[in-house]
Amino acid sequence: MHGGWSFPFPPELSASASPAIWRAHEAPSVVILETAADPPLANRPGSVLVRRSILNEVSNRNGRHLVLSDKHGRYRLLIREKGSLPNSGYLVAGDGYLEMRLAAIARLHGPPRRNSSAMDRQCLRPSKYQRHRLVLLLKILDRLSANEMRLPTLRTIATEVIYPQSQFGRALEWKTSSARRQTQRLVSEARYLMQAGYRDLLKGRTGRSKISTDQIHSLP
Amino acid sequence: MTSSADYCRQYDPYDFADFAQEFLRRNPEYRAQYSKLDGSLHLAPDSKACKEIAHAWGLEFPVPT
Repeated sequence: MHGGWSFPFPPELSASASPAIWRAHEAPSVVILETAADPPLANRPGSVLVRRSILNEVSNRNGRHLVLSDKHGRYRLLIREKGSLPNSGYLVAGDGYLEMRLAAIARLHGPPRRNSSAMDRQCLRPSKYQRHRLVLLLKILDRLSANEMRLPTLRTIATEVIYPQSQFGRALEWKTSSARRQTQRLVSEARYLMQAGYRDLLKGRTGRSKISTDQIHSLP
Repeated sequence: MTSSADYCRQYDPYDFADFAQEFLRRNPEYRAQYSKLDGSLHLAPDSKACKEIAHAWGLEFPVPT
């Protein structure tokens, strides 16, 4: 910390402990609310801030950025004061993520609806399968970055992280196994998400690796 | 020691943005830039350099309070 500011988020803290403030154009789940000046938003009845706690907040020239929380989950909000507007309103960018933006606004603005969890699942939250896969990829990255003198082998990652109950027999059997190819794919995908693919996640995409195979082959 | 079930359970409430942060915080380049800035007291948070670093990662950067 440096007298009231810090790097966007400290990497040693998890997202649950210190949620990042993402740029609105990168993350369609960030709702942009343009307000018509006074009275302060927090004092208005029905305000989106009422009965929600503020987990993180920063202000800069782009506005006031907030991560809010209630019993239903998290909300990401950018408040811009526009004194010239007659009324407050949401700004929805005309990009390819309209569904996600509208889902985020509906979730923030209205009371929880019967079908809101289904909408969340579709647009804002990963499905059960996607969550399982993302957690597995995080485990792989943690295993790759463990403090050891040498990088773990693909086989080590397979036996310790991906297929903990499996035996792969002799070296030749392992080398020709589908498990080895699947381990290569998962390592590649984990690295891609860490390097650039996290931006796809912000947009609700959990696509496959785009990393070249050269990077996978750096593992013994 | 965290059990495998505990490890998975901690991600239950996560949305896509939270998962994106988990991947980014494991990025060695991001960690290196954080370490560099953390030790650089003279670097103003509203400086062009700081903002460029934050924006390059898709993040917002606060102004000093």
